[in-house]
Amino acid sequence: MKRKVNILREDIIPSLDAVLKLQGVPDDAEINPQVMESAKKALHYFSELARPQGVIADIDLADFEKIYNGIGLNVSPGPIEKIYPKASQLAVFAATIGPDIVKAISALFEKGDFALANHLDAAASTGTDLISHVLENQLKADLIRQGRANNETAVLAYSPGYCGWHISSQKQLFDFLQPGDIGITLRDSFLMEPLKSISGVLITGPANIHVFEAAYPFCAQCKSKTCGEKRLPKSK
Amino acid sequence: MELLDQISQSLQKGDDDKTAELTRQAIDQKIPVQQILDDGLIAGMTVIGMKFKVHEIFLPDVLLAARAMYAGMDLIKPLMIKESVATRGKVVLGTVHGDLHDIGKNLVAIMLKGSGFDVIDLGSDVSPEKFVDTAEAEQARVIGLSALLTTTMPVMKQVVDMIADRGLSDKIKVVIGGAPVNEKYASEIGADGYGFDGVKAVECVDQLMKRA
Repeated sequence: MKRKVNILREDIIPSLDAVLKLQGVPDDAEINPQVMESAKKALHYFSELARPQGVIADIDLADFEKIYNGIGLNVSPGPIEKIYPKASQLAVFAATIGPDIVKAISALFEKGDFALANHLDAAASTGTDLISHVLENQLKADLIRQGRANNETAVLAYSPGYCGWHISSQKQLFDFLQPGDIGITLRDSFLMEPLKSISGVLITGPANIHVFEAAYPFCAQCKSKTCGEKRLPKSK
Repeated sequence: MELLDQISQSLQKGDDDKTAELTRQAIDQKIPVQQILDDGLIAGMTVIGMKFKVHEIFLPDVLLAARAMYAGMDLIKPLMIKESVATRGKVVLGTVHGDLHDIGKNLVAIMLKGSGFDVIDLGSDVSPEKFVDTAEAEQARVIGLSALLTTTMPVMKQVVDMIADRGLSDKIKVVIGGAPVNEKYASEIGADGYGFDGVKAVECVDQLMKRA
């Protein structure tokens, strides 16, 4: 069943470090005070302008297989095709931080406030990624409440365009999920609007199903490097 | 000249108000516009570019400096037009059809303008015809193409092919950039260059200008 999810703005406000890191500033760099001031201002704008919304829908294996396979452009073998058949539960999702931030970024570039514009863009991208963690946590909590998962269960999000899953599968995903009611639409190029949106599948199961060696051909080009066990909760 | 050096220094510090004030002083002192541009503003941005290249400073610092550069440029631009001061060449820039990601393209535009090039920014979701028609009409020597999606990358080849079909390959060079593309892809589609980041894009455009 498709349902809207409650995403709190404070749960997706990125850290200052994450915003700077996304712009190539290393952890140990000495930060110019003007840069710091501008980055803090961007985070303030983010907290004013972000309007997070999301939808999620449970999906059975056969239906997800159709979405995953899309029009047959996935790279095979790939990790996701080995992970999802082992899932105890699958759900597809789409979420956005809304159009206001995207408009604000453009306006700041137009105005010539380039550093602030780029900080805000980095904050928006990081915040959008954080939505998937919120959804992972919410789904896990729901499943635990329903007795369908326990603390050892891992829920991780995977998106078209990554890990060999071709972006063209967005079409099938959108046909199934219909996220237009929260303002997310898909272009012919499979680009989502608003730009700062995220979609994909939440795969639930034992943590070890998500573990894979990042040695696929596409891993060499991957810039996120946040796959598999790096995303799993650290065991205590 | 001390004043021009001060312009360069204030730009490097990202101080837009000071850069504008010093540029105004230079104009009042009748220092030739070309000299203010070359030995003040562009000199400052060149240092910024070199420091960025060796990771002494980072993108946010470059963008603060660029804002200062623009503050000075706004003052000398009317004089450049009046005195017909030549730019380093004209570049048509845009994100290809189907793609709305424009941050990378914006950063390249900022760096190119900051380095003295004349940039015609067509925005995002730009058709191959629009790129080539504009470059022809404006007599631009370089087209810069940006894409963030693997699904929109093929539009880059359409632009390269259209330039060839119109017999313009000697006059118009193409440089590409964006997350999914690389040097190898540029070579595969027949593009003339690849800009990994804003600084590399400027270097690449500079070389292509000399060849076009």
